Order: sequence, then structure tokens, then C-alpha cells
Amino acid sequence: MIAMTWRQHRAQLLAGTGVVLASIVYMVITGLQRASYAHTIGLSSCLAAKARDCGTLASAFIDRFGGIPAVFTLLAGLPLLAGLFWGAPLIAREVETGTYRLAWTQSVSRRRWLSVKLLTFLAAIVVAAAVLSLVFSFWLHIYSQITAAGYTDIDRLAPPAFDLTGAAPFGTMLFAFAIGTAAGALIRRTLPAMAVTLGGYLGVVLPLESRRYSFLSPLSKSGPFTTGSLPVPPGAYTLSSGYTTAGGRPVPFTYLAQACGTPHGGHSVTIKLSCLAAKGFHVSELYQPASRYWPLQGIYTASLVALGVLLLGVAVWWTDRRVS
Amino acid sequence: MSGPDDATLTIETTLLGRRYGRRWALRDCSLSLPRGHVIGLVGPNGAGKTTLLHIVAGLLEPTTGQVSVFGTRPRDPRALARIGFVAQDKPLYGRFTVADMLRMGGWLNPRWDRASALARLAGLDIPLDQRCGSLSGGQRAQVALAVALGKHPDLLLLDEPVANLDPLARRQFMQMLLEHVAATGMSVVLSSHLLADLEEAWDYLVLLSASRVQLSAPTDELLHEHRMLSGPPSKADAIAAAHSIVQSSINEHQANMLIRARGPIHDPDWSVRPASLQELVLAYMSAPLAGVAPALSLVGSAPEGSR
Repeated sequence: MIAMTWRQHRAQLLAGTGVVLASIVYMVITGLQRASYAHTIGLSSCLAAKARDCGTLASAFIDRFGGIPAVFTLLAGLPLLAGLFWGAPLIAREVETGTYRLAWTQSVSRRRWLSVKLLTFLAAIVVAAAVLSLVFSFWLHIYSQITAAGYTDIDRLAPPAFDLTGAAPFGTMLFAFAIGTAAGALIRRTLPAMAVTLGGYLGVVLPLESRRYSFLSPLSKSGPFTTGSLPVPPGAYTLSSGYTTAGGRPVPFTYLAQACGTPHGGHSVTIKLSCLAAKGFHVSELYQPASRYWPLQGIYTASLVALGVLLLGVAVWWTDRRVS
Repeated sequence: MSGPDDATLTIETTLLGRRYGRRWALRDCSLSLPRGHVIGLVGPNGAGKTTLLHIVAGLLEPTTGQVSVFGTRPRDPRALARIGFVAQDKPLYGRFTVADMLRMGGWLNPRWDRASALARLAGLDIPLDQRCGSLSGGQRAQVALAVALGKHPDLLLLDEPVANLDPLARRQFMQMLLEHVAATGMSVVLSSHLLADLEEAWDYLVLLSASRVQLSAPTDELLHEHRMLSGPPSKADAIAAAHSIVQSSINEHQANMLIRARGPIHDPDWSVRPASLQELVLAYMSAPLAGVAPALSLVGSAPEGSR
């Protein structure tokens, strides 16, 4: 059955390998550029020495390369491909082309037929997710160092790095594959199953992404009004910034404008900083500290894996009992 | 599940039914099919032939009733290993080569006979490195049959095997099949909506019509029992009292009847001749309700026939 699975799905598996390899090549090239530049200008050795002020070198680095390029946000969407091109056709294609009547009348039970295929793809997903996660961590390493020294705030806790490091790629890839497989089993046609996979994946992952930093109640920090924003610890992810009264009650910006603003006619208002400070207003930040990276990764990944396993269970059950 | 029937029966169904939404594709289907026969499953389009074959092949769960093949559920891998199935459109993996299809047979079947499958295809000039997606209809059918036979099934199910084949491919297909049957004694069920397709091949007939079993018996028994009569309309009632009438057309001058005889007909006013299989099947198909009662009693007596 493993030989059969390989013969039947090798094109899909090889295409997947190609996409992963291309991503790796891109990350290695851009990662090496950054590492070698940091080495050349002396940023790496400066950061390693810790005692020295590396602010100028760090700014030079950030000026040269910026933060994480937008392409990586696309890479974070890579798991979706596992759902569209591995999951959705897995059962749907057999039913659509009628070959299920060939496949399921050999001497292998339907349950075993499907289990071997699912395990093969799951193994591919584990490898792909692990490789992507490791290579991207290597890519991000120099940014993590700069952030840890306090010169910027680009690290693995914020998106898109959160989606490309740790266990998250495994969670999203497994979930995408599972929703594709289940949609294919229930709908029995590849194209509609792909559409449902796309919608279902975005419908679950986007809300989950917006809520995943609240799985653990965030820490808050508040301080008197200054011109800049309130500094949070290095590597932390800020959920929201806001204003409170002296008593600690959160208030919107318009409240500040009413309290200390001088209207100029139209919508233009000038707010005096000294007035705000005198009236005791505070700035407050809600954030997750860098130390919560693994707990948050764990909760996010575990919820996707749980949903994925449930969907795969539905796909197996439905195929075994209902499809024909 | 067990008992003497296991040795003599391939397929046994009890009040089998399958419903799609509100429509019954198959209803109250009770059959006991003996081993070692080539069984023709005949009926008009939509009579439930494909549904019945899919249930027996383990592809479809019945809505009602029971089915057993060699004494077990068809979905049991032990039963699956003994059943060969070729669906109507002869599905093959389009991107597999013919050689890949034979490899697949070896990967998925414990009793796979690669040598004889290769020998079968070699006789037909089908190149092993050709992709299945580019085979002709006849070649497709041959490859599908070779894969099913390579499994060494004890029971082969063929759904409309020659419906889409040209006459030459049809002959080659039946030849390959019947050679294998002669060599192994395998049981075969083949369905068809056209009688002439396969008539020479069968020795047992199951007639499905209007989602129900109308007839199930060895063909020689059916031919032996059925008669075509023509004679005076005034004596039609006497015949009806003594025999079962399957179909009749009576006008002022003449009565024509197909009967299932319960004994000899001595009255010289009747001209009597044996019914052909064709006439018999058409009669039961066009008068479905007439068939139900005799078919059910025949089903009950089928195991006796294989004593």
C-alpha cells in the first residue's frame, strides 16, 4: 500500500518538495546576505560583546535590509497549499474519476487504504514544517539578536515570524490538509472541495490569528505621558496601546481631546502634553512578553492540531461508512 | 454465516434494499446464487443491476436487508480478496502505465498472479509502457479485466462488461473471460441490459425489473418450464387454471400466451413450442408484477437445485 501511495501521489509529493526547496533556497540566500553584512560591518561581534553600544551598527543594518520582507507573509500562507493540492483531491479525485471502484475492490480495506495515505502525507507535513521552521529560525537569528539588545522589535513572537517558527507551521499545515481531506470526502468533487478548503482555512485561521495573543491574559504596563510610546521589554508583542485616567480607567483619544484640547475650527485640535500630564492621564500598553513564546505557540498549534485530527477522523469515518 | 450453504453459495442476500433519497434503486432482493455458474444479471436500465453489484462488491452499504459473499460481509478484506470487480466504465488510473496497473495488482492483492496477467495482455498487443489514459475503449476493458482476473477471484462481478465495446473487442473480452472460467471454475456475475450481448455465456439467469428480482434460476430449467402457446380464446381460462401465465395477449380469434407449465399440455387445440430466452426475459420485463410470486418461490428452491 505504501508503494501504491507513492506511485499514485508522487507527482504531488515531488511538487510539494519543490515548493519547500524553493522557499529554503530563498531563505538561505537572503539569510546569508544579512548574516554576512552583519559580520562585515562588525554588528555580529559588537552584539556578541554585549557591553558595547551597537545602536549605530544596528540602525545601519535595519536601514539596509528593513524588517521581515512581505514575501514571508506569503510563505506563512504556504500551508494552505497542503490543503488545496494534497488534501482536497485525496478522496474527491477517486470518487470523481470513478477509480474508487477500482481502489476499494482490491484486497485492502478502505480504512487501511486511507490510513496509509494519511500517514504518508502526515510524514511529509512533519518534514516540511520542521524544515521550514528551522531554516526560518536561522534566517531570523540576526534580528532576534538585535531585538534582544533592544535596538529594534522584530522577533519571533510577532507575525509573520510567529507563523513560520516553532510548531506553528506544523499546526497550520496539518489543519489545512485535514480540512481539504474532509471537504473532499464529503463533497466528492475536487474543485468545490478546494474552494471550501480555501474558505474554511481562512475562516478558521484568520480569527484564530487575531485571538491567539489573548489565549493567556496579556500583561499591562502604564506610565505617565511622554512624547514617545511606552517601552515594553525586548521581544514582547504589543496587543494594544491606550490611555487611562489617573484612576486607571481606560479612555478613548477623543476624551483626551475634550479634556486638554484647543479646537481650531473644523476637525483640527491641539492637545497640550503638559495639560495631559498635569491631569494625571497615563499611557498604557497591553503586551505578551517574549518568555510566553512557547506557551502561546503550544496553545495555537494544539488547537489547530485538535481541529485537524477531528476533521481527519470525520474524513476516515465518512469514507469508510458513507462514500460510494 | 456458516453451514452447508457456504460451500455451495457465492452470494446470498435477504430482503436487500437500497434507497437514494426517496427513490428505491433496489427492493426486497432475496437471492441465493450457487457457485460455479456464469450468471447473467439482466434488466432494463435503472432496474438496480449496478446497485446490486456495488453492494455485493462492498462499495455500497444496503439500506435494508443482509448480504453475504462466501459467508462473510463483502467489506471484509477476506471477502474482498476473493471478489474481482470491473465497473461499467472500466476505471483505471489515467496516469499509470499498463505495467503500473499490474504492479498495483501485486501491491494490493495477496493472491496476485503477475505471470498470467502479463501473458493475457501480451496476446493482445497492448504495450505495457502506455499510459492507461490513452488506451482505446477495448484496450481499457482488457486491462481492467486482466487486473480483476490477476487477483485470482473466486467470484468475478462485471457491470455491463461489453456495453461500450465494438464487436471485435467484445469477442476478445468474452474470450479472455470464458477461457479463465473454463480453467478455474470461477463464478461470474455479469450484468447487461441487452440480452443478445451475453446470451451464449450464461447458464444461470437473474432478472431484475422495477427494482425487484423477477426471476432467478438456471437457464436450462427456465427453458424447460416455459412454453409459448397459441390457440382458441375460449380455452384460455382452462390454461390459466392449470399453469402460471406470465404474459398473454388475447383477441376474438386467438390467444397467445407465455406460460410457466406445471405439467404437459395435451389439448390438441393448442399449438405449443418452447420459449426462447429472449421471449422469456422480455415477457417478465414487460409484466413485472406477474413475475414476483414465481420468482420468490424459485429463489426459495434455488439451494435445492444445487444439491
